Amino acid sequence: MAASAAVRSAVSLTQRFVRVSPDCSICPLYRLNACTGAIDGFTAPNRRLRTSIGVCQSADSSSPEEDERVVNVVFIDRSGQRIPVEARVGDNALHLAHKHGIELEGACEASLACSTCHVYVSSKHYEKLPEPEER
Amino acid sequence: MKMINLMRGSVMKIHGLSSASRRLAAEGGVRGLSSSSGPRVCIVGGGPAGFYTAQQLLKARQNTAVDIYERLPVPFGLVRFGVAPDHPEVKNVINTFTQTGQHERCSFHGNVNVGKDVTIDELRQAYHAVVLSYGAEGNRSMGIPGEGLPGVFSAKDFVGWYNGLPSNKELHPDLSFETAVILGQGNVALDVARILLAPVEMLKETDITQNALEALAGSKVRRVLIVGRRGPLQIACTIKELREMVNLPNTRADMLPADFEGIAEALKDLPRPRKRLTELMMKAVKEGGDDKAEKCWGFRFFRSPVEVLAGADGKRATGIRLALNKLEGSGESARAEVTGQLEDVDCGLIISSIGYKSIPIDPAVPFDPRRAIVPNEMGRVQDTAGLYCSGWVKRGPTGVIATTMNDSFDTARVLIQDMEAGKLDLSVNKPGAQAITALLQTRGVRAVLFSQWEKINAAEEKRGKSLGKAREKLLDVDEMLKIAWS
Repeated sequence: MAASAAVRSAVSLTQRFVRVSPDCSICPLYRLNACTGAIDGFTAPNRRLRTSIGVCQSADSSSPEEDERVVNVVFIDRSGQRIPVEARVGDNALHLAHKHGIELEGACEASLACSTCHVYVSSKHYEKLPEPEER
Repeated sequence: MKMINLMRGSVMKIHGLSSASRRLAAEGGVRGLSSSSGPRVCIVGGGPAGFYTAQQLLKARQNTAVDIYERLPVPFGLVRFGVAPDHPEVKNVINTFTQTGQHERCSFHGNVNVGKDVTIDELRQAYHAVVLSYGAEGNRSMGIPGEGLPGVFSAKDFVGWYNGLPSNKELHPDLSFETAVILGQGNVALDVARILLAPVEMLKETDITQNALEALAGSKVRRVLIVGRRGPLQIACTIKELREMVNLPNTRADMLPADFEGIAEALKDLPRPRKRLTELMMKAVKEGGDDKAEKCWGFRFFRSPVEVLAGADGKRATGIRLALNKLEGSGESARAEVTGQLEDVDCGLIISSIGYKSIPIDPAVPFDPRRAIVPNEMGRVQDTAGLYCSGWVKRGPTGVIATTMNDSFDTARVLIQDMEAGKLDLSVNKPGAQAITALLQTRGVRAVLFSQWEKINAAEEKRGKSLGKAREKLLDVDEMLKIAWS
C-alpha cells in the first residue's frame, strides 16, 4: 500500500496524509529492505501538501489547462518489480497506478475519505513540499 | 460463463418444473456443475471482512469458488449500517465489493443465519475451507447501575437506528432533552455527536432513514458532551472526525481548559499523527467558536461513568454520575486511576460508545470470552483445521476499513498458503453451495442471491429519489425478501 513512496513526483504531491500511523509490516519498502526511514520526514512541521480533491474531479491530465510537463514515475510492486510510467504534473497517484494495472487498493476511490491508499514521503523530499493545509 | 447464464435463464423459463426445483437449479446446481474441480471456500459474514477476503481468494487462484453467507438479506455489513450517512465517499468501497459479488466464481447467499439455519460443521463438510468474518454484533456494557433505564442507548443501536438496521427500527430515542452525554471518544462517538448536532440540511439528501431524519429535525438536543476516562493525549478518534466537529455550522466548542493542563508542553515530543490531532483540539479550546451559536459540544476528560441517575419517579434517565480520574503513566498506555471525586451531569440522552463485541456463533467454534474473539494464529482458528477468521471477529472490534482490508488480505494469504502446502485436502471434491442450498430448503430457508439484492438496491434508490435522497433504506426484512424474490 505504500508503494507510492517510490513515486518520484515533482512539485505537487497529490495525496494528503489522512491518518498516518506508519505500519511498517504492510509496507513493500520495508519488506524489500528498501526502507530509508521515511518516518523521519514526519517530524518536520509546517509543510504544505496540496490536496488532490480538485485534481481528482477533473479528468487526469487530459484538459488543455493542465500542466503538460512530463514526470517519470517508477512504481515498485511488492515483488520488487519496477514499472516505469509517464505522468503529468497534477496527476493523481492512485489513478495513475490503476491506469497502468498496478494493484493499489483505494476503498473510497480517491475521495480522501478512508486511508486505504496513503503515501510515505522520504525525509529528503519531504523538505521540498509546501506546508500542509488543515482543511 | 455466458453459457451458464443462458442455462440459468432457460432453466427458469422451463414450465412444468416446480418452482422449488427450478430455484434449486438456478441457485446452486448449475454453478456447481461448471466449476466442480476447484477448491470451494465458504465465508460467513457479508461485511467488509467477508468481501475483502473473498476478493483476494478469487484473485489468487483461477479455480477457487467462494460463497458468502450473510444473515441479513442485504450485504456490506457496517459499510451500510455503520458508516455515517454524511460520509458517502467511504461507502464507495461498495463498488469494489459489488464487483466481487458479481464475480462468476462468487455467490452471495443472504438471509441465511449461520449457527441457526445451518451449522459450522455442516459448512465444513460442504467446503474445503470456512472463513469466519461475522464481525461484532454485540456491545460492551458499562456495567453500572441504571444502564437499562429509558434514555440510555448503546452507540451501536443508535447508529443502527439512523442507518436503518432492521433490528433497531423501533428504537424511538427521545430527543426532547437539551443535553446528551456520550461515553467514549472514538470515531463512533464523534459520529453520533455530529449526527445529533448537524443541521438537517446537511443530512436530508443522504441515506439516513426518513424516521431518523424527522426525529432529528424535531430534536431539542443542543449540547453534547463526549466523555473519556483518560486525557486529551489518549483520545481514540482520528483527526478527520475531530475536524468535522470543529467545522460544524452553528455550533461552538465548549471544553474545560483545566483538562488541557500540560498538553501544550507535551506537543513537541509527540509522533506526527497524535501531534496534529492534539494541535487541532488545542485550537478548538482556544478559539471556542461563535458565541451566538445555538448548539455546543465538548470533550470531558478524566471521567468514568459510575451510575445513571433517574428522576424522582425513577422511570427514566435524567443524569449521569461521573467519577473523576487521574492519569498514571503517559502516552498510549497511560491508565486512569480513581480519585474518589464525583460529578453529576444533568442529561436526558446517554449514549455508551465504549466498543462493539463479538459473540460466539456456534458451539463447535472455539471462542475466547475474555477478549471476545475467535482464538487464532494469523487467521487460522486454534485447533481447527480448515477454519479461518478475518476482520473484527479475529482481532477485536477496532480499526477502519483499511485495517480490516489488510487483515482480510492476510487471512486470505494464509489460506492460500495452506492450500498450496497441502494442509487442506483439495483432492476431495466438495459439493459447496449445491449441498447447502438443498439442506436449507429442507429447513424452509431460502437465500437471497446477489442479483436479488440488486433488486432491493434498485428499490431503495428509487424510493430515495422521490424523497430527494441518495436512497431510502428498507427497514423491514420481510419487505426486503418480498422485493428480492419478486
